[in-house]
Amino acid sequence: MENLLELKNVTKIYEGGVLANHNICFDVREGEIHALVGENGAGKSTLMKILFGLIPITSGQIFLRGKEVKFNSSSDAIAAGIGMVHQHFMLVDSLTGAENMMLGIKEEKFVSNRKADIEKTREIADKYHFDIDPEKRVRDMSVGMKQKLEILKILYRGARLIILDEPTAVLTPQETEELFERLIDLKKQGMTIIFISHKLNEVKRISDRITVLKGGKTKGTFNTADVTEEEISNKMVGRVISFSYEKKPMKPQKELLRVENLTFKDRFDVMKLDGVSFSVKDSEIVGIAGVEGNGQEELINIITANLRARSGSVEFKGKDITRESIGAVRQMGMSYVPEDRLYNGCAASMSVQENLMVSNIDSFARKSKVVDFKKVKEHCRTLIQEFNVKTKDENQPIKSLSGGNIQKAIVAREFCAGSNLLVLDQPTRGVDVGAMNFIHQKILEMRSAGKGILLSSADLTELIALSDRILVMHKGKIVASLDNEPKVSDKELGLYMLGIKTQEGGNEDE
Amino acid sequence: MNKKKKFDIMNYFNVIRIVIAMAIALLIVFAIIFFVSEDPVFAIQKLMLGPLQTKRSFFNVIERAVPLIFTGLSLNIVLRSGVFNIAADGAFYMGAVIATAIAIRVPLPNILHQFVLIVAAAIAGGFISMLPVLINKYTKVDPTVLSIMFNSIFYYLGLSIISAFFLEGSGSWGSAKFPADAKLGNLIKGTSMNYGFLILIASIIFVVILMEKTSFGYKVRVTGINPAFAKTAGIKTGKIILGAQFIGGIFAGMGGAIEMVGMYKRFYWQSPVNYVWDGLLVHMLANQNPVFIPLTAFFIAYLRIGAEIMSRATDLDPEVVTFLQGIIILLVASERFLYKFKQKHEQKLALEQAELASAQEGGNA
Repeated sequence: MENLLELKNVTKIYEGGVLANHNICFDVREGEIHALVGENGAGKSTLMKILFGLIPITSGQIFLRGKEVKFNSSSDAIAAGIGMVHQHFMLVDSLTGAENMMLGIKEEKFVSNRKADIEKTREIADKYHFDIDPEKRVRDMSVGMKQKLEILKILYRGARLIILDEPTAVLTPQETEELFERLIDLKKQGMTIIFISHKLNEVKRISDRITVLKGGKTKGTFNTADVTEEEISNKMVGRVISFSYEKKPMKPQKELLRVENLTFKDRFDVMKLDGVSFSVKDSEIVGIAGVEGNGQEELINIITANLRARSGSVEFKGKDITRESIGAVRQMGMSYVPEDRLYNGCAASMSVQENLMVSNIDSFARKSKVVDFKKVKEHCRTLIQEFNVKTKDENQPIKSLSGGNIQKAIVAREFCAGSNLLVLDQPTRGVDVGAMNFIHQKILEMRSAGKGILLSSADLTELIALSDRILVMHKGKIVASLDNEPKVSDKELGLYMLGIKTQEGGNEDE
Repeated sequence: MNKKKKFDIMNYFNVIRIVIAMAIALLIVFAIIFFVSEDPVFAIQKLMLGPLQTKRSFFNVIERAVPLIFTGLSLNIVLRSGVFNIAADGAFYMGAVIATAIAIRVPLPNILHQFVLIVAAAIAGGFISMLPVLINKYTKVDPTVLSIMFNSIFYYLGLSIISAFFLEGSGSWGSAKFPADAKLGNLIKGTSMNYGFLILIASIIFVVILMEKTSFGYKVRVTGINPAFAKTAGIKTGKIILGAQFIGGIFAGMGGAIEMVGMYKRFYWQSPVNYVWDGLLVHMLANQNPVFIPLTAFFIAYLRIGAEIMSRATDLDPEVVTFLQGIIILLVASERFLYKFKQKHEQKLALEQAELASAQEGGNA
């Protein structure tokens, strides 16, 4: 087989001097499934954005079918037959499947022909054995169907090389299985696929060859058949990190958080929360599992007072906080690590110190409201040291740190604010394995220190490794409350997440 | 050692950028003068050195800088809360009007009289500055547009108040004379430097401490940089933003009052004041740091006075310096100006670090 795509010495340095890719060399052969693996922050996504023309390269060369190419935008890449499915789908929620398929197609007439569009979409779906409903609006589709629609969209635009950026991150184990069948089908029809993942069992199962990235560099390309998962893992991480933790048996005493019959409707009038009730005690970790968009986000936002419930109540330490302000709730002893660290987890252009002092700024102010910066500095230095935040000093702007270190700084701030309840939303999303492991240890330390922890995560391994109890959400309801002792299997969680299985009277245990 | 020094240069990148922008702007203005003037060397000499040639003109520069500093301080607080509210001109003008009203109509003993009129003007300035944000909250009209509108509204309102109640019948348009106990006494004989200058210095120190050292200033800055984060962290962003508008407006209103009773015998501002754009430039050149505002205000005032001296001595209009201002704003505000230079530097540094890291790795293995 000849090389379809070849990269030579590609280097990418982002604004702020972040070296994301350093002298990357790798090649993709026609008609193979090529897996690109590496920890979070190893530079996989950057590399894919380069291939798809989304960001310019700093230096190096890209060859497509032997000819050097320079993509100035993604339309150049699409014209060259490259398609990409992003981690976050690029679909218009309020339009139907067929409308999304035809969006931006040149041949489409000024007045669209709805019937013909639906027919065409159906035809393509049948051709590739993709089961989608072209008349359904995207916002009513399941995540699996949205993803299939994305792939079809790309195929319809004439892609021969498909890039999938962590396609399984949002899927349940069952949906993943179906996706794999489709991908193998596509391969048989002559498509080339670049598959990005950090889940090695998946990579091992589906790919022909594997390229390992670590710290922005290639660590080599291997035939999948020739290497074991352990060998890849060693190349990826450089050391073996286990995710099975010793958990001290704890005896929860009192109830910290009680959520009663919460409901919430979004602006499309979709029921996002539908009678959710549960409680969190001290010294316990309650995990929330669910496919993205099944109400977890709204639930967390209501508990932390960032959003107002339509009905129902949230009680914290015996006090009704449903209508309280964020500041008041924090003052009462609730900490919150938000999902998106750059959106509302930190002020990117401010220094590490200024980011660390935000939640307890008032406690550092003297009576005159002048901040005691000596005390702040001391506090920050302790946090930086204790949480192993790698930064030159506390005056460095926080955006110059790596994602893992920013996250560690945020976690440090929230964990050391003296709270009783920690609400964690995706606390390890997009951080490297080392930082992930570190944050996990800290979460368990907090549990041992008697704090209550509510952990919402898309990473099932993380949930299973840490939680004492796992609540599974589906369509705004808690469909299962599972005791995680002995450990729940991810297959079982998957069944609940898809709504195939529901627990009887599953809304609250005891 | 060498490496550390290099990095330090980049820490001052913003300052370097501003200085280069000023240099480029000056060069362009020189070029224009060469192009249009019959005696360009003389004109440039007047522009650059004129203010230093007599004691009088030098103090003129300082006088000119005072309202710019007040406006700059006001904008520093207001803009750093993340709202582009430039109602400072309206606040400044109304401050002067209210000071006039109290000076003429409210008889009070010396010192108390000045105190009352400055405080009243300051509070009025604070409320005027809050208006755009308050109205935006209920109507969702853009606060910038509102603030520009309010500058006109308060100019005409102030003008009508003076015309209706305080006009002196004789001769040219103007209010009655201020009584002596309402004026700010002279600080240095032979100049118009008055006690307002001391209030100005106190104001600068206050704003520096407020914005850089207190929890309130910190909250304002966080809110301005990332409101979503500020909210999630429990800061009441609505209150903080309103508070910043009020405190910012105070300095504009105060500036108006001090300018009026300090520099003039009577109110005769028949045209709207126009300090906010200069104040904006002062704020931008100071790199948002109130400590540098006196310096940058002095720079702008120096150029203005220099231009006036030049135009009196030569065939050139003083408006030449507005070119300068325009070019500086354009360069400082454009993100891409000198961006390549920074990027190159960052890239080099990143590669150096990567090599260092891989060398270390090799050493360990």
